[in-house]
Amino acid sequence: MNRLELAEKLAEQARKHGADEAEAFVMESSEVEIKIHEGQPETVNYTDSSGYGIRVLKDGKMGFASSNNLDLGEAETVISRLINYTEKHTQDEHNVLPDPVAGVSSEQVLDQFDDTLATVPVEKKIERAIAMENAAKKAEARIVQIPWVQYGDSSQQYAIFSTRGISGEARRSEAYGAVLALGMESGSDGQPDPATTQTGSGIDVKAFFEQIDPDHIGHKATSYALRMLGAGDGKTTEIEGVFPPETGFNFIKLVADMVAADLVQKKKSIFSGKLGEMVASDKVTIIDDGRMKDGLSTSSVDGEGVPTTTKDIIKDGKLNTFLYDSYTAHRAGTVSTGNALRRSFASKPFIAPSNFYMKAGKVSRDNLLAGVKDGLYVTEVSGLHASVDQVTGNFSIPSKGLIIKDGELASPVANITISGNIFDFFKGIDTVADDLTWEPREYAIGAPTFKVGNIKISGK
Amino acid sequence: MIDHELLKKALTIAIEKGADFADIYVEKAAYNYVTADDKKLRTALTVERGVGIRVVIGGRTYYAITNSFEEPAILKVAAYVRDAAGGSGNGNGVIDLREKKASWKYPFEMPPASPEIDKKVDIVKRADEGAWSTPNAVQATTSFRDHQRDILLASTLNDSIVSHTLGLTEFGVNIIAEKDGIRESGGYGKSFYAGIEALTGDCAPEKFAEKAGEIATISLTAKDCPRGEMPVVFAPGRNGILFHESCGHGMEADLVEKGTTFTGLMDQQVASPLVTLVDDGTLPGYPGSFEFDDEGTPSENTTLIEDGILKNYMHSSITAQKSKVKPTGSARRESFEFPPLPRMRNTYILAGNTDPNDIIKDTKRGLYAVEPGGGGQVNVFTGEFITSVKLGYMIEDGKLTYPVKGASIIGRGIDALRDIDLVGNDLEVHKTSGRCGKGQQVPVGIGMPTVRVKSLNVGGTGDAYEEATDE
Repeated sequence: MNRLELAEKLAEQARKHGADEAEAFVMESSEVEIKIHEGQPETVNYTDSSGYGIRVLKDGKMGFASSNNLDLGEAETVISRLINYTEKHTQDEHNVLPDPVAGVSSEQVLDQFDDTLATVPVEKKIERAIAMENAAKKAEARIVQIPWVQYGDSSQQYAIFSTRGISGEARRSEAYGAVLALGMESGSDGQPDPATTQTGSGIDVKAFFEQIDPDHIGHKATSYALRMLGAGDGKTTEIEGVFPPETGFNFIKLVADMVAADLVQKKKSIFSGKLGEMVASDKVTIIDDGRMKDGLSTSSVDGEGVPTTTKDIIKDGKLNTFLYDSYTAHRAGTVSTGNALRRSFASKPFIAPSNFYMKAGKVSRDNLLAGVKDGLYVTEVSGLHASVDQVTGNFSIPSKGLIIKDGELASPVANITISGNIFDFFKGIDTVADDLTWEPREYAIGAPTFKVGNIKISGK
Repeated sequence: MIDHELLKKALTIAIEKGADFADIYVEKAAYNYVTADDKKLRTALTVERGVGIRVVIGGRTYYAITNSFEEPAILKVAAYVRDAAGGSGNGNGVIDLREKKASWKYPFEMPPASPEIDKKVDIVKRADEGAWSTPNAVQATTSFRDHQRDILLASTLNDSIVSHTLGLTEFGVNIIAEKDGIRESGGYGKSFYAGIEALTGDCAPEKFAEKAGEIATISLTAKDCPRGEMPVVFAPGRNGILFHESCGHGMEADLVEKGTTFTGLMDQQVASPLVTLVDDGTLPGYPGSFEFDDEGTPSENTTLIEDGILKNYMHSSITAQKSKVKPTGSARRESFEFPPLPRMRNTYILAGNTDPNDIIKDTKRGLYAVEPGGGGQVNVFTGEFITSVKLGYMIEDGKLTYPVKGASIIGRGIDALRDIDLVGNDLEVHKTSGRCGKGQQVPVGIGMPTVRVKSLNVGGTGDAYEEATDE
């Protein structure tokens, strides 16, 4: 039985057990994760798995269950338990399974999938990871260690079938490389001094194995560590802040996380009640594009089988729309934007961005910097899960950076936090450069270098 | 779950081309979720099973899994991992495995694998009602999660078969309150290596709602926390995240091998003499407790720092072999999908001698950190860590004054540990509701008594901090 047939069988079973409507999602995935230490594999982890997730609709109640046991007899037990559980739910008229949109249900043209991930021998992947380590090692003497080198890839193939008429298959793949480099300055004895340690990480995620460039990733890690060597303690002050893509993307991601319509509708987002208002300066346009050519998060349809879309989330500073799935769209009286993501068979669809980025401006990065008399070029931000209050939008983010003096990057500073409020931060953006760069993490996210007129720094 | 003969057969194949050791990890798991969010009650369930086979050769780990419990599938994985490991020697042939009996009584009154859900629904409804009775509440989320993992582990490492059941009940309430255009949240949660019977008495569902409501309510009147270097007094219990981040991770042996700030400092002073830090996997009912770790090593209470002196790291069998020490029972896996790593269990510092009231009295000006926010993070190679303060009070002239909210605390682990100058006699170990993430998510406990750190960088959204002056 193929994936789609199995999905259909599961949906039928749910119907038989009393569901009004049902949707089954069957996924097979294959992953490899390789960690390298000093030219040798430290861990090689192969994870091949398959399973299903099933949503049922009964009397206006929606339930979800998943399992990795594809035996239909076992599935029957899970489904009957699911129906029993679902009866306990609160009725909600907005619980819906989407109807198919004509002409797109089984279209696959946009999906990013690397067939070679299954055929490239693991030795070649190990070589690629070792090449990342070597690229980082050869940087210079002050790079004393490469404690973390990892390569991984995954291929997912899935089918979705619903009693509302959605039926189709899709697939996606991804390969990534990550290197952590450790730099130290020499102490008075000429030996590396651990008290001066700085780290730099190089990460890249691509859809295709061949796009993983070991030199690029290794160099990123070492250059990020080296530029911070000799960092002193920063001072408590207020100055201009410049955010290059490698740190600025974190702020774009904060917006991405908070424009999910479910958070907005439940008043869990700072954007609740702000539709149509200015939430950023007029220099800021933020776009979510599920159909971008060659985008890492590009796909024809989302995890509910709804076609993906392209939309301005913030246009010239004005909050234009949210990211919707079928439930939140029904509740808001609009249509889904095709932003329901399923990361695996075990997760029910949840709202997530696709290719989400801040639109580039017109000035070059150099010209942007040239205009800064006293400022901070922010090179690291960390712990955003702990340092941003999702409800108030207040943040105080541990950071590092390079002092900007009369348009030039100068000495590195550490041991500081940058604090403020998300709205003030985005309203304070006065210049956006032309260097849009993708910094993919769980999804594709991109930012150009941008400047904020005033940031609060706490330090010594 | 799987016949012992089949386990032996699989292990024989796994090591037949030479290996340091091999193990096979069999798991059958059930997960339940009950939430009330936005006044809507929902549930979900997941059932999973799988087998993971590990071959370790020359200290290198090779791992693969199957979802099937059938003999051909399991033997196929064993051969696959054997070949991936690329050994060229000979195995030991016949394997003899002794059964190690677990003596802990499986504590779940209502096992997560049972189809019974009504009582769990009832618990969530009770808490949710309580949450909505909070003044000015505009949103409430109550979540109940429980799981049960039946595990069978056969290993050539200690020639044994261990079978036991791990499990967890996690419960938490989050409330958003709004007044005069200001919106604030409050949350409180715990997790237990126990079933729903744990959610009674002091841990009754309503208590979680009260606690979360109180945090949200006080936050509404709190000022923005000042920013700058200042003395910080930490309230006992949940603030133990401080030690989890500032030193715990840097003492996990796989990371120590790579060069953390604690590498090479064995038997040296790494903290104030007031600090004795333990990682305890034996506390009954705590989220990081278990009888055997995921390599079959008995769990223990490991002293990491004694009177400020570094005494132990947390070891798996692989790291212990490299360092020629005994494993500490710290090897843990999120599930059968992963090989084990050295991890924390329940990490806390022991009580000191000082009355906590005296610690505040002794502080001229500074921050009293009460409720931590959303976890923390550490860079183990530089020692730079972050924790956060969701809610606290400013200390003026030895007294708690007005409430403050929203600050991050940053520092370097060893600097912060050395700057501890007062330790209270009021140890609380918290049954943390969050998970610790290190590629894999595992439940942990954290704890501490009241502790003062002389100076930490507090990143608040408020005004710059001014030091107290001597009048």
